[in-house]
Amino acid sequence: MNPYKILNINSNVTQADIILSVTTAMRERKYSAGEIARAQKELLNPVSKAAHAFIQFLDIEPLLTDIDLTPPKLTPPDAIERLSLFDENV
Amino acid sequence: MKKNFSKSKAILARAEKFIKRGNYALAQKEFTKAYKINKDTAIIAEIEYCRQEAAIIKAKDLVKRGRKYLKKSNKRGACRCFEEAYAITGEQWLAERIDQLSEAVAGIDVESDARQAEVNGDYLKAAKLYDRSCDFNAGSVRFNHLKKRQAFCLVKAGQYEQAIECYDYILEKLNSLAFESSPESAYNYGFALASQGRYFRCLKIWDRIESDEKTFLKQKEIVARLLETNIYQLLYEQEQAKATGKTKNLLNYPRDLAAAYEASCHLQSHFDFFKNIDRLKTYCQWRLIEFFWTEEQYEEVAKIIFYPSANNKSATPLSLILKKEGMKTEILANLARISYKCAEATGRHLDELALYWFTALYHPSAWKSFSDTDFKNDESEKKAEVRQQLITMADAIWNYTGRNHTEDSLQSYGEAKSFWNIEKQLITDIDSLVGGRKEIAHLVCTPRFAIHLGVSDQVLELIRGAKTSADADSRKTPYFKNREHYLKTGSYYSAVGKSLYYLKVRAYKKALDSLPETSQNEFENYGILKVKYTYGLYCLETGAEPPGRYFASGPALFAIVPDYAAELVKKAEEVADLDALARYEEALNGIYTQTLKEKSEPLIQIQKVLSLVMSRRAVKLFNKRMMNNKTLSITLKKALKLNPQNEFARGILEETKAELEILEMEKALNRFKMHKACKIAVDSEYPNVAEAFFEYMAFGIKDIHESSHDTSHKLLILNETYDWCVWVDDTHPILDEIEALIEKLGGEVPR
Repeated sequence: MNPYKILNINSNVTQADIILSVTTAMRERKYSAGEIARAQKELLNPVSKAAHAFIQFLDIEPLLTDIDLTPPKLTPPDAIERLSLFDENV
Repeated sequence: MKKNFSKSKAILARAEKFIKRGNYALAQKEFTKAYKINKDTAIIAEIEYCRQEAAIIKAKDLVKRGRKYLKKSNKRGACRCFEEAYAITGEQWLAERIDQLSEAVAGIDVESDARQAEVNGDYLKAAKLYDRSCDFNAGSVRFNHLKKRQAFCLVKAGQYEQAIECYDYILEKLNSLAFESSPESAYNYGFALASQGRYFRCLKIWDRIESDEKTFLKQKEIVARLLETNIYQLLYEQEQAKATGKTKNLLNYPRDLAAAYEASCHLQSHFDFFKNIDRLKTYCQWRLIEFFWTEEQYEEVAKIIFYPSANNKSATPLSLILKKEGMKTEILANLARISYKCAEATGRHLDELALYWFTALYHPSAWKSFSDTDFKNDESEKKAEVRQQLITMADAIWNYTGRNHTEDSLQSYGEAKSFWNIEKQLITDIDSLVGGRKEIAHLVCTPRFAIHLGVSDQVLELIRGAKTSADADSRKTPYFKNREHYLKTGSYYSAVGKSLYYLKVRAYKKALDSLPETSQNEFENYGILKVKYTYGLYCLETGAEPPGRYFASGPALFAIVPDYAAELVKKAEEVADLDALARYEEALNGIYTQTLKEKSEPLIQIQKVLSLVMSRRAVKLFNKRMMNNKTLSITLKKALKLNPQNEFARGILEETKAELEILEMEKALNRFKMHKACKIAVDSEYPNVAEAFFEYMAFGIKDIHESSHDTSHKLLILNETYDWCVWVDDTHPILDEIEALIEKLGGEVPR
C-alpha cells in the first residue's frame, strides 16, 4: 500500500494537508473508504509516515546534479564523404 | 482421258504413301497435283486434312525449339518460337507463356539499360530502372541483387531516405544476413543513415564490416563522436526545457531514454576514447528508473538496475555506489527502496533486499529524505523507531514470499533469508557498539558492504575495543554475551567472513575452500576453527570425506566454546550405524590424539565418548564376524583404558575373556594336552570355562561308551577321565556317571 498515492500527496505535507487530502480522496472515490482510512492512519503517525516516505519516494535528483550534460565541443565535418573502397564492379 | 485418270491415280497413291509416313506436307503437294488433273471434291478434303496435320507438326516443332532456347536462357528466341506456334494452334497456355516471357525480355532490357545508366553516372535514372527491373524479377533470385543495386544508385544520387528504405526492405524482408557478405551494401546503408543523422543505427550496421581500412575506421570514429554529441544535445535540451518550464517533455518516454542509454553503452563498449560516457549512461539509467518507478513498473526498474547487460558491467549497482570519490549514499538508499519495492511487487529480488536494506537503513545519510518537521526532538530515538518499522515491514515481505516458493526456488530463498537473518543481528551489534557516535557512524554496515567500503579493519577495531574496555573496567556491562558472541561478530567482518556466509547456507565445501591459509587474528582463528569443525560434522553425518583431520583443531575450538564439545559428545552417544561409528571413532580419536600431542588438559567427555564409540563399534564388528575375539578383547581393553568406568566395555570384556579361555582350553583338549586343559579350567575365574570342560568330558564319555574298543581300553580311558575331572572339580556330578560306567564294565571304581 502506498498511502501517499492513495491520498495523492507528497512527502513534505503537514497533518492538516493529510486530513484535507482525505476529504478529496473520499470525494474522488478512486480508493475504498477503508483504504483511505488506513492511508490516513499511516500518515498521521510520524513514525510510519517517515517509514513510508523512505520506501515510496525515489530521490534521484542528488545523483544527477553532478552530471554535466553540456554537449562536447565538436566541429563536425560539413558532410561525411562517401568512401568508394567497398564499391563493387557493376 | 484414260491416260489422265491413271496419272491422277498414281499421284494419289503416292500421296497416301506420304500420309502413311506422316509426311503431310509432301502428301498435301501430291494431293494438289492430283486435284489439278482430277477436280474431285474428296481430294480437296484430303488437301485440307494434310494442311492441318502439317501445321500441327510444325507447331510442335516450334514449341520444342522454344523450350530448347529457354534451356539456353535465350528468352527472346523462345518467345519468338512460342509466338509462331501460337499463331498456328492458338492454344491458351502458349499465350500465357508468351506473356511471361515478354515481361522477362522486357526486364532484361530494363536491367541492361539500368546498368548502362549506372556506368554513365546517371544514378537517379539507374535507380529507377533497377526499381522497374525489380518488378520484372519479383520472386526471382536476381531480385536481391537488383534491390541492392537500386539502393546503391540511390546513395550515389544522394537520395538517402529512399536508399535507407531500400536497404531496410532488404534487411527486413529479404535476408537479415544480406550485409554480412556485402561490405558495399553495409557501408552504403550506414553511410545513408549517417547522412540522415541516424548515427547509432549507422554504427550498428558498420559493425558488420570487418575492415581495418584507416579511412573507414576514421569515419566510424567521426560518426561515433557525432552520436555522442547528439545524445548530449538531446538530453541537454530536455533538461533546459524542464528547468525553464517551457515544455514538459521533448523526449518520447521511455523510448528515447532507452535508446540514448543503449547508444551510450554501445559507444563505451566499442570505442575506447569516450572517457566520460559513464555520466551519460548514469543519467539515462536514473531517468529511466524514475519513469518506471512513477509508472509502478518495478520489474522494469529491476531490469535496469539489477541486470546490466554482459558488456555493460560498469552499470552494476555496487559499481554505481562505490565510486572512487567515496560511497554514493543516495544511490544506496535508492537501491534499498528499489529492492524493497521489487521484492514486494514480484516476490523476487530478495537477494538484493538482503544486500542493501540494512546498510542503507543504518547509514547516517539514509535519513536525508525524511521530513524534518516530524523529528524535531528526540531525533535518534524516533529514527530508531522508524528504522525498526522499516525492518519489520521488510520482514513481512520475507514471511509473505516464503510461503509462495516452489521447491526449486526454496533453496535460494533459504540462502537469502540466512543472509538476511545474520546481517540483521550483525548490524544491530555494530550499531550498538557505535552507540550514536557520529565520527564512526559510517562503520554501521553489513560485512559485505564493509569489504567494499574498505572499513572491515575499523569495524574489527571497534569490536575489539568494546571487549577491551569491558575487560578493563569491571563496572561496565560487557556488550557481548559471551566469548563466542564476540568472536563470531568479529569473524564475519574478518577475512573468514566469506567462508562463514557459505557455512550459513550449508555450502560446507565452499566454506572450507574459501578459508585463508593462516589466521591473522583471533576472529580469523575462531572462524577457521568453526568452519573446519562444521565441515567435520558434515563429513561425520554424510561420510563425504574421512573426518579425522578436520577435528584435529577441535580442542582449540572447544577451549573457546565448550558447547561444541558437548554437541559432539551428544551426537556420538546417539550414533548406532557401523559406518557412522567408524567415522565418529576416527574424529574423536583425532581430537584425543591432538590433546596428547599438545599435552593439553585431557577432554574427559571426549575421552569417555571415544571409549564408548570404540567399544560399541568393536562389538558390532565382532557380531558381524568382522573382528575376532582377540582383537575385540584388545579394543575393549583400550576403551577401558580411556574410560575405566565404561561398564559396557567391561561387561563385554568379561564375556570375551571367558570365551577366549574356553577357546584355548578346547584347543588343548583337541590336541590331548589334558594337563594344560585342566589347568585352564581350574585357574579360570569364570565358571563357564569349567562347565565347558565338563561338557567336553561328557561328550568324550558317551563317545567311549559307544565305541568298539575292548573293555580294558575303555576302562583305562574312563579312569584317566575320572582323574582329570577330579582335578578340575571333585564334586562334579560327572564323576558319578563315570563311576557307574566303570562299574558296568566290571572295573574298579576309583576312590
